[in-house]
Amino acid sequence: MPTTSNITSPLLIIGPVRSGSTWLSEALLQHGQVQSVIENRLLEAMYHELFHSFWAPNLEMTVPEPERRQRAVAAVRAAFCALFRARHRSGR
Amino acid sequence: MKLLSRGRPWAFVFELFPEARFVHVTRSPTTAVPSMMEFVGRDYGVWQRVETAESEFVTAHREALGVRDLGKPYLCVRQEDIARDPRRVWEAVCAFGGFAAEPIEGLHREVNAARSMRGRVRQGRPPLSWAALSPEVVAVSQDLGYLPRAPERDGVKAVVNAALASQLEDAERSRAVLARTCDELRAQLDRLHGTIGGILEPLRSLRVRGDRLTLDEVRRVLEPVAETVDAYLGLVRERDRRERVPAADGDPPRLEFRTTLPCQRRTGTGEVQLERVELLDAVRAAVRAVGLGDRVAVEATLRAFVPVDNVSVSFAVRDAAGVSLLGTTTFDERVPLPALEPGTVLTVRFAFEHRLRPGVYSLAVAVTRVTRRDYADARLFDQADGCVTFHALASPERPVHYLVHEPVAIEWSRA
Repeated sequence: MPTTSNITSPLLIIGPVRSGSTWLSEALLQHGQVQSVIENRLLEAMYHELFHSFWAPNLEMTVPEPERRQRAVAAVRAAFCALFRARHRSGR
Repeated sequence: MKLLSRGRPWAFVFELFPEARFVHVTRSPTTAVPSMMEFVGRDYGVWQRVETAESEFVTAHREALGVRDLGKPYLCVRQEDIARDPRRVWEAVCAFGGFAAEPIEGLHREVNAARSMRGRVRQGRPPLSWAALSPEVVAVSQDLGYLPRAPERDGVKAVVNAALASQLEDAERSRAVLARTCDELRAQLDRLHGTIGGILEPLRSLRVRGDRLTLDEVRRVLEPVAETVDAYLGLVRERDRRERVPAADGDPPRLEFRTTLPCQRRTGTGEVQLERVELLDAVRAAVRAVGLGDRVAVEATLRAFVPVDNVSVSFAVRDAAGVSLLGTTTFDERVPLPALEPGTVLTVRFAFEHRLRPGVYSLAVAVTRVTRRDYADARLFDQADGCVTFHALASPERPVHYLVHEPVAIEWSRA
């Protein structure tokens, strides 16, 4: 199971839709050393909730800015790790 | 991790995965844009618009190229290379990711193909013309290497040449129509030349006589100038023009506003006037080129300026020499039209199957009042000659012998 610390080399597929990303993602899924996840706009949703939503200012009052950002990064990274398929001990 | 599309909070992404490597997937817009329109447009209608797909293409690639320009670990993978040699792409991705290139099942398998392309992905989607894409798409495509950059424009030149060749083909079909328009414009210019002379001459006279003129004298000089300028502007704008309608016995002459039709000649009393004449195709769209056997209609819209009954509308198709070839009248076809009150607008359509040989033809339309079969009491309200010019296109499969092709029944029997 990947954790926030054992992802050795994240590979991010970027670009527009309909350009071969699904082929690449499915090929990567079959690789023994790779785990893959479709991001599917989760990142934006979490980023928005943490930094730009209605309740984000409340979070600012309880935690100073640098720490708040660090916590947010850790939380989002952990969320993505939880989404990887639990097939391998480590993931990329 | 797939992080496709656009509008990503990139600064946060870099914080989230500082050690990330980025694989940028690209595809020529000539196939990517229609693929987006078909595949995504199936669920989201707005994607069926080429502008939406183009916007997605441009913005997502600009963001991805921004990642590259920041110096992040970056690999560009082309969909065309995946289709041509997937194993080679896979090896390149593995090398970039830093893991062994394990053999993978189904690398040649079609993945996520659009409905129209299933089973044919390797052949490639029929591409859009570069000329059909926006300048922004072309610019991004240059950054992606799908088109040569400015200093080496040979590829672009070829694309532009192809687009121009297609346009020239269309232009050739309209050549005769353009030639006729040029002749008309030349005639207009000749008239304008005379008009401008009429303006300049009084002004020259004014300058010569200088400040010795009284106000009345100035007015007398300028009045014809103002009239001439009005006439000139009316001619240039091709808007309504005033025309003196011949007076009936005992009536004072009057002026009527007659809508200018783009015709060669206009005659008639003006009591009922043609406002618009169009040649329509089977779906009632205006056309200027028709094929043999096409259903077409001549549509004439007219307006009455006086109460009038027994109105008859007619049309004639004429060849380039002005010879009337075919036509009819509502009177002869025994289709009575309603009596018209002043201000009434009436539209009449003559539908028929086009059977003329290839060439250029024009339409003449007329409105009359007639009650007698010998036309002895006909009163011509308005006649517009050459108000529509159209092309009869050649059909390679069905030549027209002589002037008109009328369907002929053919039988044979063995003795």
